[in-house]
Amino acid sequence: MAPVEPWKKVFVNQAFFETEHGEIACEDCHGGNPEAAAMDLAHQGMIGDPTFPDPTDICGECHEEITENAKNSLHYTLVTYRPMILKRASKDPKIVAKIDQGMKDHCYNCHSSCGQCHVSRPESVDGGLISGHQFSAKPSMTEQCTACHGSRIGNEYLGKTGRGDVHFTKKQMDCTACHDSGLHSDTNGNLHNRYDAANLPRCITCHPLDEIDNDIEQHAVHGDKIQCQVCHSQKYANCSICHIGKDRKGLTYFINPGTKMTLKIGLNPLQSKDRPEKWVLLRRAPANPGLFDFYVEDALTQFNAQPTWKYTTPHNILRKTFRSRACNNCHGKTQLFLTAKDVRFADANRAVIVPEEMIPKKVAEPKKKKKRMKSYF
Amino acid sequence: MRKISWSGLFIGWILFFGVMLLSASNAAASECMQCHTDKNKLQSITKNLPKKEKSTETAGKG
Repeated sequence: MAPVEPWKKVFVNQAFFETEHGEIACEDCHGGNPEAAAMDLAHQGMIGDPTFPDPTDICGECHEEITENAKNSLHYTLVTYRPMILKRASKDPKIVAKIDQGMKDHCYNCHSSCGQCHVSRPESVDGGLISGHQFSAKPSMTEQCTACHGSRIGNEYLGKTGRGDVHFTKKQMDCTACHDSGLHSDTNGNLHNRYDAANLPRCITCHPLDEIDNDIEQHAVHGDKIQCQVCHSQKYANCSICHIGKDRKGLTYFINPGTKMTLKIGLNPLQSKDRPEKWVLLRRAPANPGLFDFYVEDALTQFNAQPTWKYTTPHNILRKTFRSRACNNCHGKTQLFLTAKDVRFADANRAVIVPEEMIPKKVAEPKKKKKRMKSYF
Repeated sequence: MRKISWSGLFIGWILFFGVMLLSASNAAASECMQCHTDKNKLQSITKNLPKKEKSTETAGKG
């Protein structure tokens, strides 16, 4: 996305002073020296985003309960990143320390905060006030949510790749329609997988299985054995091998050699009471054994401990897709399923690869009901 | 019993409202606002500020 013009990033409009937040003195939140006229002196000790890492002091004065929860939320802590990486990593503390340094340099810039969702753009896209410092209880889908969740989720949902998600194209639902304020309390700061977070939206919340159209045979037959997205999503972006490092000037960079639009059905690696489906969609994550080579070689000695094809919930839902039109658009279609020849790291993906013998065989198509011709006599 | 000083009470109320008004207009009155509400001033300042440097080696989508 195009960056905010530099002056606009810090421009405070008059309307802000008409709001409750506008009644608070600047220095009460941002520090600095409000008496100084010289720019350098005025900004000494100033904090651009006073809501990170701990929002309880500033925001918590009025929004106590939310901030107490939010400071431990996934958006603040990215708490699942480290355990996920460490599952693949060497147990040597010296190597773990180097991995931590790499993650600090590259991964943890992507966190959010109260301010980066409710008043400015996130820091990962260089920040900047989006509405003259006016706060908005509801984050802006394009300025805030998809500023971070853009290259996959945002593009899919808004139709920049594919035909867009029916919840947006037909119903104009924005992110908060499903991802409500429950995300402030999605974790208490101890979580190993983001899909285990509390208050995640589920399709069945609005489309309960016992209420969806019983005339649709596929729903009756497949029930909760198949993740909804398997039939209702479009192709989605898959990463390949990401490399991170620092250039000669010490600036961080990453190289992601390209994404591929595809759709792969695999076995559910997170099968549980809450996610009982056997068949789910899988997305290629950018993990590779040499990810941390710049910081330390052979860091991910347990690389195969986790699949590189991950459980995914693409945000590009359509009511009718090619697969939903006929049984044999899935049954017997080997190319739709993640098989050993689709993956680079077969050992890592044993749990999600579909063995050839498990791919559902073609079935006899149900006879189409003949439409009764309307009589005009 | 002590006699109420009506003039003292009046001055007290005036002072109280004065302090309230001052604190309410605190944000608008600070030096911060001299610059941060002035589009032209901000434009002239920011055009001379160094741009945040980013690595040219970054390639692909994040």
